[in-house]
Parts: sequence; structure tokens; C-alpha cells
Amino acid sequence: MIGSVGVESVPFEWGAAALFLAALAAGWRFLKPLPVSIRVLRLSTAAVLAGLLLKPVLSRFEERSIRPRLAVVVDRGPSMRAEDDFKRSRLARAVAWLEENREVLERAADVSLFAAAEGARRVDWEDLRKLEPDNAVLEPSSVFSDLLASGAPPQRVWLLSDGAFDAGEALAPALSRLGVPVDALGVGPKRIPRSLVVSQIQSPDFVFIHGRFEASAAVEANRLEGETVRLELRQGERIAASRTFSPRKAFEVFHATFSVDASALGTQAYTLRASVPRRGASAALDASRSFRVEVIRQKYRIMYLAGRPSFEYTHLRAQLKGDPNHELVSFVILRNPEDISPVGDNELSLIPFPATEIFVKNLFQFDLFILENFAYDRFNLPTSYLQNLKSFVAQGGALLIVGGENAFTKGGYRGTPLEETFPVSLLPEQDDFVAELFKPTVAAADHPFLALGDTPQETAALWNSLPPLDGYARFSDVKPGSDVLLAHPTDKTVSGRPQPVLAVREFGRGKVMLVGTDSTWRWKLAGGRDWRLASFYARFWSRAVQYLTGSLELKKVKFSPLPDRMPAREPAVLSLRVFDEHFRAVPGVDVDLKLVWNRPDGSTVSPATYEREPGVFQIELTELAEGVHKVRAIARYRGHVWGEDSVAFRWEGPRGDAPLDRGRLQEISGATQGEFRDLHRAGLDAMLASLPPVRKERAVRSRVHAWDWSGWLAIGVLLLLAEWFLRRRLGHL
Amino acid sequence: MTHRFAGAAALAAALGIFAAAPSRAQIGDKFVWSQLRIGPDWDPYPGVHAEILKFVVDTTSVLVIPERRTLSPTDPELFGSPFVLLSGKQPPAPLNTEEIGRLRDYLTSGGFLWIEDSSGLPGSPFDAWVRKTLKTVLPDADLKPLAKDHVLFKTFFLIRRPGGRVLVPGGVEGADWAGKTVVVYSRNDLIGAWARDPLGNFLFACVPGGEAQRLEAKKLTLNIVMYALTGSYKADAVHQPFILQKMGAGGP
Repeated sequence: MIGSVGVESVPFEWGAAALFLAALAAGWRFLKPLPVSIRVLRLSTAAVLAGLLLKPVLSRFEERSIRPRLAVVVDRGPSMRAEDDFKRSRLARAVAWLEENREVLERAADVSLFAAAEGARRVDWEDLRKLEPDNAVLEPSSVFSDLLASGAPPQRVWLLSDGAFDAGEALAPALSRLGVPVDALGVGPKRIPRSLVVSQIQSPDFVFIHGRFEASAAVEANRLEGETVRLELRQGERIAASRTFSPRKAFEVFHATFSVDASALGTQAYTLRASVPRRGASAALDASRSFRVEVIRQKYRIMYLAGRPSFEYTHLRAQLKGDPNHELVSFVILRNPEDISPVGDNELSLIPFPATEIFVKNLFQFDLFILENFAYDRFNLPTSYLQNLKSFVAQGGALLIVGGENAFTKGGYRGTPLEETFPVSLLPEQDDFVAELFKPTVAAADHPFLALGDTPQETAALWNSLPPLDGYARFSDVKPGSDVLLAHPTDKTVSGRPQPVLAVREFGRGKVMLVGTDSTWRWKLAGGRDWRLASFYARFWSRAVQYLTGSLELKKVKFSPLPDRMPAREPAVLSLRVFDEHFRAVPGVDVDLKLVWNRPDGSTVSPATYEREPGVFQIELTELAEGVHKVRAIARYRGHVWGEDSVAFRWEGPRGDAPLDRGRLQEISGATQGEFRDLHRAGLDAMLASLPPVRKERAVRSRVHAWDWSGWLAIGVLLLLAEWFLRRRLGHL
Repeated sequence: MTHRFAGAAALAAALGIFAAAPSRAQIGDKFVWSQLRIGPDWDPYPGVHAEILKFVVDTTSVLVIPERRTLSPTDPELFGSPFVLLSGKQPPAPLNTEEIGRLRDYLTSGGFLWIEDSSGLPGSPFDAWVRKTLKTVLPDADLKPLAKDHVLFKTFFLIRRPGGRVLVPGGVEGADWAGKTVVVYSRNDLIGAWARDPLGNFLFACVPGGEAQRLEAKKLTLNIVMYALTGSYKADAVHQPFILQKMGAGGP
């Protein structure tokens, strides 16, 4: 124990005391003749008053030990229910471990306890004992932010968790703000079996056809040192790509990224399968996880080959070219071999007909091949070119045949491989084209391709308002499986069916559309006479391309594919996308969304949505009950009914069967220069050794303010009175 | 002289074959020469279309309807005629509101108009009428001289020099709508360079360039037809290396 005397006076008070003492010294010669007793009294009075002005303080100090501030965060996520190979839950084990070591801990550190799930909540030891797992999964970024906001910042953090949570993009900044080491204590099974887990998959929800996307996977290998792990990316039975790894440590996490071609439209399912072959007495291991990717279109690659310049060509080419979703390559035969030129070749802008490039080299780069009034037999092209075109369709390409007198029998297509793809059988006669005006009749009013109006009535009115077309091809018959959408009002095929003007069919994996006339340009110019038809031509051909390339059937309102297993956590997050007719994201301001959530108990709820990014709407479902949940979304775009989609998933609630994710915990500890340990093997002494040392600090134990007593003033007054009394008695007044 | 008669006979024979088509022939994918009847002087060179169409047929793969279609601006068939010529030497009367509206609707819905000032005079009264009328038909589309690299000059022939019966400075202009030149306006009297007398002789000398200038007029005429039938096809990237190579090689 150490004591000391100090003063607390401010400079003014110092000055006043000094002035007072100086005045006393100056007047001393007047006091000198007085008796000693009076002088003593006067000096005593002066000492008391000076002492009051100087404010003396008596302090007593002691030596204290300052312990490092340690924040202990206990994960109470749903997976902490798991009992593993112990008889207590992970949470109970974590709590028990802390209680067992409480005394040592509190001796070594200033411990703050936190229960963590969506955020961190400060608890005391009593609360800790009562802690139960929560349905909400640990959100580490929120937890670490809450630690900082809870008071004096910790100097080290211990996280007791099984790692069954998503790191999230916000984690790294949160750890950076925290700025102290985080030691992760893995709470999981004691025995680490030989195992293989595909712990994480990252892939985009939506990709564009013909594009490439990346799928990344994390594979955890336990006790597989020296063995070979093979990771395969499968689409169905087909192995799209593979990698092999050779673990060198007892526990290793491998990351692999596969680059995948999106070669087919629609929902594509993939599986990542990790396997280890049987070796000696060790059994083979196998683990897999599936994911889905929605493949949509952005650009349609179109080859347009026309037999000669025409109004049909110029308008259809301009229509296709003007659509930013099309990549158009077109060729038109400007001159036939028999045509003569009055000038030399260098004055002509003509280029050689690149038949080989079109039909052989580049054919399969296109989504849609258009043949308009192209006389195949006029150019002595080998039949193999048409065979290629047939294969192109069979393998998923789209073919559009636009009429004209050379488009069919006269063009040399009868009996060729390409005719097999047509929706019709060709006539044997060369003269299969009739030049006359006619108004086609709608033969399949309910076909989605023809629905160019918002309502069936509007659609019918549009088709009735069109001007007549000019010239049509005659056919022998309509092939089975073909749909005739528009037909000649009176003319019949040889078989007696209405003569097709617009017919479609599927051939192999592709689609074929036949337009028996090359005068649809009349619909375009008709827009000048009738405002209702102003966009008819553009919409007709735009839908034709969408139909042929499969986009018309693709939904414009789509939920993102759900994972093969819905995470047992709340909230369950769904993502909904809304596209316009060209599969561009539609901003929320143009969309009116209605959502209906059917819960397992039959109740219905309308969950809220928020626009995460343009065209992407997020729905968060909470208070989930076990069972099948269905969510249906209905979208209106710019006032029109645009589409709907529904999704269903089974939610089984937290089972506590998540594996101990050492990789995730190592990720956090590694990023902060902390350490990872399994809880059951964690050496407390080693962990405590990582803490900052206990500091010795001298602290004030007590402080006595000697001047802060009103009696001093009374003493001063009494001394002055005593002096006055003596002066009277001794005759010194 | 024998040669001239033979040429005239061949032309007559060709016209005879063409004349076999019905009077209001359906055009299908064939090119039909349509001409606007505006003012009393709308047809300064009757029959010249046959000469032009024969050249088109002989030189290109284009099929044509031999019959000329003549239309008033209010004719409903205007919207079935994607190519229309308006020619004249003297200014017609101002168009009424309906006629202006019809022409505007036609041009903004995909129609193509070739205007030919056959007077051969710079600053002619017809020229003034054209400019004034186009300002009312397409108020947002100004007539501008066509750049040398405009696709019109390479739709079939690579045109390096001006042509026509006469040469008026800045003689070929155009007005664009929605990124496409929908009006081509020539003041060099391109169709006058085609006109022949009954014996097959050219009616007018081309000044100052003579027969070379006439050939350029023919080439540009055909290019205008091809532009109506192919649009900006020759501006596609796939053609550029070939065209640049030929342009670099220079003309005769």
C-alpha cells in the first residue's frame, strides 16, 4: 500500500494562496511586537486559510492485474443440436467446456460471453447454462459487428461453433473491422471418420445459351492421405469435366472450378460427384451434390440465305438486323451465273458465294437457319450440304423456310434429306407456286405463336385486319406431327387438307417453320394504313424467332432453381426473376408482383418481396413449418399479365446433422491470424497462452480530500475570535 | 442502223413478254416499278422503266414485273408498292394534308421513295418544291448529301464517280428514317440518261462526261433498285474486306 499527498487547487487558487502568504509576510513586522500567543494564533489562522485555498488531497494506491478482454462466442444455430458421438448436443458440450474451465478462464482473462445466431447477444454464466439452439443460422458478419458494438472491444475472440453457416460476402469486412484474432473451436464429432464431403457448390442461377459459366466446388477429405479423390461434373450420365486430388494431410479442403458450356436451353441439372476407389481394406467413398442452372437466350445467331433480292428479303433482314438480340449473318444471291455485267468484276461489290462456309464450316454456330426462296439445285451444291442442314435441325437447330417459287419443288428440295425435316410433303410438279392475292385463315387460334394480341379477341381482330398476302406455295400433304397455323382460305393439298401457309413441326431436337409465301412485307407496310398493325410485322417475326429457338416457351417469370436440399434454416430465401420478351431484366418499377405462399397446414400467406437487383426479386420466408411449401408468383408487366411461376420445396427443419465444417472455421481463424482447434482436443493452456499477458497496473485505492470539510472554516473563525479575545485581554487593540 | 433496229426489236420483244403479265399483276417477290402521279409533269420519260428493268433483269438475279404501276399518293395500293419513283421537271401543286399524311405513313412504315429532278437545273422550281414538300412529309428527316461510303454506292456496282444526264453539284441526297435512307433524291436526271427514241437512240447526250457518265447513271439507277431490295446488306461486315480490296485496286 502506498500513499501520497497532493493538491487539487487550480492556478487561481494557487495564486490566491501565494498572495495571502505574501501579505502575511509583508505585515509580519507589524505583528512582531505582539505577544507570541497572538502571533501563533494569527499564523495558525493564516495556515488554515492557505490550506483551504491549496486543497490538499491524501491518496492511497495499490498494484492491480489487468486481464486481457476475451469475447467467447457460442454458436446456437440449429445444427448445434447434433449429438455426434457424444451424448450431449454440440451446444451443451460447448457450454460444459466453458463452465469446466470457467475458473481458469476468468483468472486469465476478462471474459465476455455471447450467444450467437443471426447476431450476438451478451449473456452471463447463468444465461449460458440455459441456452438452447435456435432455428436461425449463425451469421458471422452480424455477430462480429455486434461484438464491436457491445462495449470495450475484445482483444481476442473465441468462436465455439460447428461451422455450419455461410460465410457471406460481408464476413471479410466484418473481420477486418474487428481487427483481432479469432480462435475457432470446432464442436463436432470426436472421431473423425474416413470421409468425403462435397461441402460447397457455387454456380450461377441463370446463364445464357452458348455461353460458358463456372461451377465451383469445395470437397472436404478426412483421413484420405495418400489416396486419390476424383471429382466429376456430370450432366445426366455424361461426364462434362473431372479433376483428381491427392490429400496429404488428415483433413484437407480442395477447391475446383469447372468451366461449363451452356449448350441447351431450359433447366439443366448437374451433379458434382466426388469419389475414392476402394483400396485394400479401405472401402470406396462416394459423395455428390446436385445443382441446377437455368439456361436462357440473350442473342440468337441467325443465318439468312436468300435466293435473290426481294422486298421480303430487305424487310425481313432489316427486322432481324434491327433486333439487338439477334446476331445476323445474311447472304443474298445478287447475280446468277447467266447474268451479264457491263463492267469488270472490280466494279462490282459482289463476293463469292461462301457455300462451304455456310453449309459446312460455320453451320453449327447458328441457332436459326433461314432459307428464303433459295434454289438449292441452281448452284450444283452437293447433297451433303442439305444432309448437314438436316443434322443441324436434328441436333437442336432451327430452320425457317420462307416461300417463293424456288423455295420448294422448283428449288430442288423434293426428295432431298432436307425435305424430311419439312412439315409438308412437296408436290412433284415444278410449278408449285401460285401468284395470287389471298388472306390466310388462322388454323390454330390457340397456338401461342399466333397470340399477338393481349386477348384472344384482340388477336383475332389483328389477324382479320391484315392485308392480303401475295403468292403461295402448294403442297402435297401435311406430315404427321406438324401443326398448320395459317392456311389458304380455299385451296387444298392433294390430300384434301387446307393448303398450309404457315406450318411448324419438331424434327429431332430442333424445330422447323415453313412460311409458304414471301410477301409478309405487306404486313409491314400495312402498319402505315392501320395503326393497330404498326408493330404486327415486327412482333410476328420476333415471335417466330423466339418460337423456333425455343424462347417462346421459356417463362419470362421464373423462380431461381432451388438447391437439391433446402437449407434447414430461416429465413428460406427464394429468388424470382422477371424478364421482358427479349430476356432482359425488367426493373421493379414496371412489374406488379403478387405472391401466394401455401404452407403445409393449408394456410395462405402473401410474403413480401424486395428487388435485390434489377429484375431479381428476393422473398424471405420465416416461421417455416415442416412439410411441403408452395410459392406461386404472378407478374404483370406494364399493366399486362406477363406470366407466373411456382416453386415447391420440402422443409424438414433443423435436424442437427450438419457435419463439422472445419474448412469454414479455418477460413475465419486463418483470416485473422487466429487458430483452429477441435474443442475436445483443445488444450486450454495453449489457448490461454495466445492471449495478451496480464498487465500490472497501479490503481488509486482511496483518496481523501482533506480540505473538503466545513469545520476548517469554523476553526479559522475560532482562531480569529481567540486572537481578538487575547488582544483585548492583553491590551493590544 | 441495223444494230439499232435489232436493239429496239429486242426491247420490244422483251416488253411483249413482260406485257403478258396481267395488268394489276401480283408481284410476289418480284420487283415492280411504281411511279407516283403528282402534277401534270409526273412522267417526263414514258417507257424508260422498261429499259431500266431489262438492265436489272440482264445484270442481276432480280425478277421484275414488267408493267409499271402508277399511283396517286392516296391510292391504297401505295402500301403494296415498297418502291416508288417520283419524277418531274416542273413543280406540281402543293400536296394536300391527306396526301402528305399518306406519304409520311408510307415512308415510316417501310416504303422507299426515289425522287428524280429531271429538269437538270441546279436550284430548279421542282427542286424547291421537293425540299418544301419533304419538310412537311418528314419534318424530322433533313435531306442531306449522301456520303461517299453510303451503302447506296455499293449495293451492286461500286460507284466512284457521279452519273446522270447532267451533273449538278451534290446531286444525290437522302433523308433517313429510323436509321434507313427512305428517300433518295437525285438532281442529275438519272432516268433522262436512259431515255431513247423509238429507233433505240439515246434521246439526250450526257454532259459533260458523255457515255462514261451515262454508264455511271445506269449503274447508280440499278444500285437504287438494289438498295430498295437489299437495304444495307452490302454494309455488312462480311463484305467489307472484298469491297475495300476492290476499291483499293481502283476503277478503270
